[in-house]
Amino acid sequence: MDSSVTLTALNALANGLLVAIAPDNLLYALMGCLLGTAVGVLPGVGPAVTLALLLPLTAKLEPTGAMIMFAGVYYGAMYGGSTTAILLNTPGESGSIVTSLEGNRMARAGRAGPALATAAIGSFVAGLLATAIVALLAPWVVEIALLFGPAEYFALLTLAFVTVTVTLGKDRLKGAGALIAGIATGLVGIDGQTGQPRLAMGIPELFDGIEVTLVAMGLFAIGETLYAAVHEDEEESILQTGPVRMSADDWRRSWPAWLRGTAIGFPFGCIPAGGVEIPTFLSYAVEKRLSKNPEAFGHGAIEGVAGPEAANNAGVTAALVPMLALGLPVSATAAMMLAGFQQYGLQPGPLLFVTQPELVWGLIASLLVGNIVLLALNLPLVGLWVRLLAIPKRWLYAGIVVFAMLGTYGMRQSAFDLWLLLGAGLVGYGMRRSGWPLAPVVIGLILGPLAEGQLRRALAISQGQWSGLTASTISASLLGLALMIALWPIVSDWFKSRQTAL
Amino acid sequence: MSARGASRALLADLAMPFALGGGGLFVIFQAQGIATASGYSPVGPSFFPTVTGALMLLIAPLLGFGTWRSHMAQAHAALPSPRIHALGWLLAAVALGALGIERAGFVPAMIVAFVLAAQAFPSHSTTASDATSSNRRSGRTILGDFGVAIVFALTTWFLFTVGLGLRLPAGWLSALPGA
Repeated sequence: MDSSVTLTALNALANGLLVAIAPDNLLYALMGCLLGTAVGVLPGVGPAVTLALLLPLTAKLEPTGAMIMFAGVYYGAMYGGSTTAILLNTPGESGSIVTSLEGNRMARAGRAGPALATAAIGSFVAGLLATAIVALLAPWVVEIALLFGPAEYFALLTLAFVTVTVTLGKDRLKGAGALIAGIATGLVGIDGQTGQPRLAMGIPELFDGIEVTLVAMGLFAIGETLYAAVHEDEEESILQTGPVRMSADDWRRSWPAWLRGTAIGFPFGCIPAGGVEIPTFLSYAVEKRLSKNPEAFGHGAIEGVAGPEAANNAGVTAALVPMLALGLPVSATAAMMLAGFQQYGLQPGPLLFVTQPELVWGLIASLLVGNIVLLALNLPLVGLWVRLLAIPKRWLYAGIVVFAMLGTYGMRQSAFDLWLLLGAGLVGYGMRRSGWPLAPVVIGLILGPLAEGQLRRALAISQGQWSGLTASTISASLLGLALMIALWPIVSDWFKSRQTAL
Repeated sequence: MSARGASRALLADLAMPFALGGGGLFVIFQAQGIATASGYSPVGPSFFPTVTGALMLLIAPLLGFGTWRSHMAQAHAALPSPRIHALGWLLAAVALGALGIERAGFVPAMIVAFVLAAQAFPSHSTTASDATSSNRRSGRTILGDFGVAIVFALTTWFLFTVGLGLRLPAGWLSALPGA
């Protein structure tokens, strides 16, 4: 591989840093981090819905500043989620589930301060390392992506569909159902190639399609609010934080866990539907196995917070590699970042590195800056975030409903969109109630139209020959891999049932 | 869980597979009305909707069967007693907000939406238990909700219209800055 790509990347990153530390962009990063943490701290509001709710805030800014603010919100929401997990035993998102296992135990033992500190510092360390790897890795992925034509992109998107179905959520059929429902929703509107309306039922407001942000807010924000109102009863008591600092022994036990967590979380974050659930649980298992005091796990072991938090942050940062370099979101949160780009008519992918290098590298560099800002904010201001948790649930969720309606109406100034929001909220409630994963809907909504467009282009190029989809090594390999992943659970279940029978 | 409760839970869980199947039928029906374009590609604008609808119809009964089987095996956990009336408050909040936002304006519509949404959640008070106290508490709670709703709606209005330049309908309050 050509080392000039690495040198060019380092140069570009340096230029990006100059963009990121410009006073107005620093202000946007600070605002994004503050807002993201404040909203991310609120229980039931995960990073995807945080981004959806705050997306309208960035609509009036110029693209570079907006994306920097968005990145701040992205990271801030992650930090906020771990605070809720530790203090309230209510993980704000799936990556914080493991944090709540040990973190809340530490908090109940009067060690909330060290738990919050190791989560914040671990996220900082992982975020720094992961951002550096993103900066070095993304240009290589772009070099590969430039070899991709429509057939290769279609094969990659097929692989993404299969992995999302197989890995997201506990039930593969429900994952598949959610993904296909998302794809169907993405087909609503005018067909780009022929100008025909599809699935619009003659309703003019549907000719422009259904906004991703609207669906995300409906499913995640309104759906979660409906679920909390109907089914959740008790308010968890908020634990006191105490001084947010770590002893020498806490540092000694935490720093290896941060490094191991980063190494585990990053690879999973890059791959479609790799997610953060697997690496955080894997990191927890590794720390327990390597610990000199494994009996402390389950009773407040600091390594059980340090490793998973680092894995979570590294995975979230790594998800930006396929999103920026290929335009492929691998999680609902990354899908919302993509929606943010599309708001400005920008399509992430290899060409964006060429046409808008200052925006892309400014964004990557702002992740470095954002990490520093968040560490500086989160340790001293944790008392402030905790006060937010004292807001009565009724006002909190009522505020979320109003904010979701504001964000939805603000996109197209259409009251019809609010009715769509209501419908999406009901669907989100039904899905949550029945254990369906929500993320595949958003991923299908974004990737479905892309896959259709690439398929039609590929077949037009091959003059209608379906064999054109497997003509190149890349597309054939990706489709073969997708087939293997799709069949693996069936084969694995069959082997297991044979072993049981024997 | 009682047998009646179990049946209700089963029907509620079957709603999603039914919705998916119904959606699949709708998508396929709509796809038939899309004209096929000519050109090299054998895949026109109706192909993806047809395939998507067919997949929805394929998966829906499998999901329905799986749901029924898990209920028969009593493999699912019983949810805490649901507060169904809370659904009504929240749906009313969004519906009245949608109806009122362009007539009455953003601020009045969101005040109503906020107050209605807040009624979906219990207020946890710990004072005396007699009826008079309870009525006073609930009156105070609604007044409190209105107070917070007014502050929240106005703050949001100013932040987004004056601060960020977003266009929102002023309605009855055309004298507000940013209108």
